[in-house]
Amino acid sequence: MAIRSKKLKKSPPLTVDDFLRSVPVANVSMKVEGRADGSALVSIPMRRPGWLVPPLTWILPYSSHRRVELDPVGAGVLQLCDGQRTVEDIIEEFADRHRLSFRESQLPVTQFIRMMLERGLVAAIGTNEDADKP
Amino acid sequence: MAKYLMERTCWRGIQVDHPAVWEVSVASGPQEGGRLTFVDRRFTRLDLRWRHLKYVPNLDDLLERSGGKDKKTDDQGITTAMLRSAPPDWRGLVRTGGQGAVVDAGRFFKDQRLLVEAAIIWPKDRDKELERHILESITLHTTDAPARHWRALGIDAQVDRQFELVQNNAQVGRVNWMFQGPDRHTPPQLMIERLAMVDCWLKEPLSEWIVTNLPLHSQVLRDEGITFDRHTARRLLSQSKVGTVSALTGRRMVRVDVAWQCEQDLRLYHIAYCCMARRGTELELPGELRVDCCQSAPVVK
Repeated sequence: MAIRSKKLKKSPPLTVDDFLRSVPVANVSMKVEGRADGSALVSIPMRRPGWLVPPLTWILPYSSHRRVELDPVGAGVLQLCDGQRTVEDIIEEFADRHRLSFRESQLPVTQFIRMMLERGLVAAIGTNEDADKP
Repeated sequence: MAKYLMERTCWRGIQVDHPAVWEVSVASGPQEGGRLTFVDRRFTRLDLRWRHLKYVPNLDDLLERSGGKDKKTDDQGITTAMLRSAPPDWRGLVRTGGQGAVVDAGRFFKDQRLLVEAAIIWPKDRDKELERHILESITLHTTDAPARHWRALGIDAQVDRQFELVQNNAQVGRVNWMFQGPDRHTPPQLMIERLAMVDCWLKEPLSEWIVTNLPLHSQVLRDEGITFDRHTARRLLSQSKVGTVSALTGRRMVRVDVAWQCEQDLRLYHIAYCCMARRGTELELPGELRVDCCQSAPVVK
């Protein structure tokens, strides 16, 4: 049987504008344990890979959850990812909260949201109206 | 002109007024040509470059040779025309295409022999009045004043002319400028710093935080509360040994640190000044030095 390679349609690179207009939504299956000092421990359930079966699991430790520890500032940003606010709104809110300029908060907030996207804490929904246009 | 909240930026002897929402993204270092770039939330809006020239350029001639005198449209639909709304002494071109426009303008300041080039980017509608105002506001500082004005990235400071900027670090929430005094053989002597999000990281008293910033094996000689420019500040006088010869001759690196938290903008400002002196010398901050925090209100036009 010939191996068919799936040709995925390459999406255009994400522009600053696209990212600012996207809406981050927190992962519904994650658990957030808030602490008194404002920090939080986030647990995200992980899918066990198909090949990870005994006796491999006897050697390779496997955790069913990925745990991410967030400091109070990071926990505050995660709280803002409520599915209503765009990344731009979150940056504005963060800037207001910490008395920063938009540019000062843009870099740390976008980097932090990207990190959360990579680790599966949030998903970003695009709201670019032009995306559907041919 | 529509009402814009304007902000003034002064960098390496050049001054420009721009909308407050255009923030500095590039400020050239001491070993580079003069450059300031401003961005808004999405686009680069103003790119300013300046350099000294040995000759006097003829900007009109340059424009004529580049064919800018005649309005023309290329294959990609970009129309190039002369910039007619510029203030006197400014010459340039306007490139219009799609929704936006790019204005490239230049002015030669004869007295200082400085060529200043400005590129203003209009992603949508072009605001000629604002554009004119920005170009008009680009001026050079006089060289006879005893202090030089530095105003960028949230710091507004007057620094004695004998101090040259040797390092400019702008990290997230932390802007740090290092100046070198007339003695070029010693490390940078003057440091001005502005730190944000103080409530998140400053857990100890201000004096203790200053001590953590001192060089290793420093000896604190005095720790006192002072009023610095209407703010309650901490002042620390310290000294540290530098080399055996200096130690034997009774010379120390004497350092004075002043730090305060501005109640209005909630930032921490930190000034440090050091120099080689006899141990126990009462060191003061340079006389011409002035650092404004909340007093530096934006310019409204």
